[in-house]
Amino acid sequence: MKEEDNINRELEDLSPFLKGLRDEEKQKSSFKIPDNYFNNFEDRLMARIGEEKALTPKTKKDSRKASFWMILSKLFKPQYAVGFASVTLVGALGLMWMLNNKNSNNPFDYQSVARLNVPAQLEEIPVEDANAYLLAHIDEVDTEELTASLEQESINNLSVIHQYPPSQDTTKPIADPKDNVSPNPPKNEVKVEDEKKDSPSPKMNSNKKNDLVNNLDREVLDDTEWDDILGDVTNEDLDLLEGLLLKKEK
Amino acid sequence: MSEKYSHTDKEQDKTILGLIRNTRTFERGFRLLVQTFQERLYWHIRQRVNVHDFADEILQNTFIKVYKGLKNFRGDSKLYTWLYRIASNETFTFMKKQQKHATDSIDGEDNYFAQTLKADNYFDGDQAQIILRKAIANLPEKQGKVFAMRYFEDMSYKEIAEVLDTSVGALKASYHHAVKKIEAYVKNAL
Repeated sequence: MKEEDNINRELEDLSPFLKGLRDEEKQKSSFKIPDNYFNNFEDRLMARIGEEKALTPKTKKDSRKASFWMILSKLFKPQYAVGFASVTLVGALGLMWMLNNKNSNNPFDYQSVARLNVPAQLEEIPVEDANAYLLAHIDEVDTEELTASLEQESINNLSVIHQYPPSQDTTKPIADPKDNVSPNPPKNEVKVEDEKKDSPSPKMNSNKKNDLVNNLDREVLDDTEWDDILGDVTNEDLDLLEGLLLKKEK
Repeated sequence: MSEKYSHTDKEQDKTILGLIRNTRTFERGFRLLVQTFQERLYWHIRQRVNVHDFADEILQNTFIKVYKGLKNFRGDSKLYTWLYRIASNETFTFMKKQQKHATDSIDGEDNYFAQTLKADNYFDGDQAQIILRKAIANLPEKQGKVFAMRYFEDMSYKEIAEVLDTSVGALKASYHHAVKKIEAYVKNAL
């Protein structure tokens, strides 16, 4: 028995209405196809497969080649070509400049740098210039760093102490004592003096004064007006001085 | 249609696969496969998508997939079953895309479907046929497939079960449900 008969019988039982529609459709199909469609289909299909094969890389090697040429072709697109050409040009010019300057005063000539005798050149700087530089840049120098870097000889020659009495504000440059004797001191300074008196900190006690005096260079002591200087010395200043003296003893 | 393409013919499968497994005769084997199955696969696809241009595109895509996958075909199933599955998948994928177009359409899904069918130069059906196609398009995926295979392609339950990889009992139930739904839809629309 044909399958078609089975289907008709089954549909007749389920829906005679649809069976009628099916019979109509069998007599006159609603769907048409172009002339020679199936005769031409095979050739059209094979042509399309041929096109796809031509576009698809066969092996990994081909795939790598294809991607290389793809990148290269992208680089030469107008929008990238200008950038690519500029980078190449800059690179080439840089290379040429480096080759031309190979034997001239090259700032990156490390052998020349190694030949420099830095301490000898520093010694050539006059002491006055060095002092002037230090005073001008005293704000940038940390007190502890400065004392740590002092050499023994410098500590011995610490005569500067009587010329520049210690200031309360260590961040300010050391001022000449003559300036302090000004008949009309600025109001700010007066205020600071008042604060000093009120504050619990401290003037130097007599034992420390004696120790200091005993340890200082006699020469320096002779020229020192102690009352002017020690009146404003604080414990902090004493600690600093003790540190310097300890260094001297060593 | 099933008489014309006696795909259960094991000898035919054997000949095609024999040619395909030899590199030198691969192309000849593939051409024989296309000649043998193109018409049946075309109608299978056309009954689902209705429009000739759509069917043509899906048929080409199906055979391109077959061409690429033939070397891996081990012959566990019949050749026509394997081909039908590929065609069904391609059709389903295409219909999903079409559905999205229809949803995005200003005129709405129903009008889009009718307009597409009417615009097809290779459709010559009356209003009842248009409504019938619309009713099938509204069915769930599996019911639509089963109905089209049996109603238009005269396929036996056994053949459909092989293609869809399901039981004959389940197919019968699906077909019966589909018939009832379509009858109600068409009667209501006419």
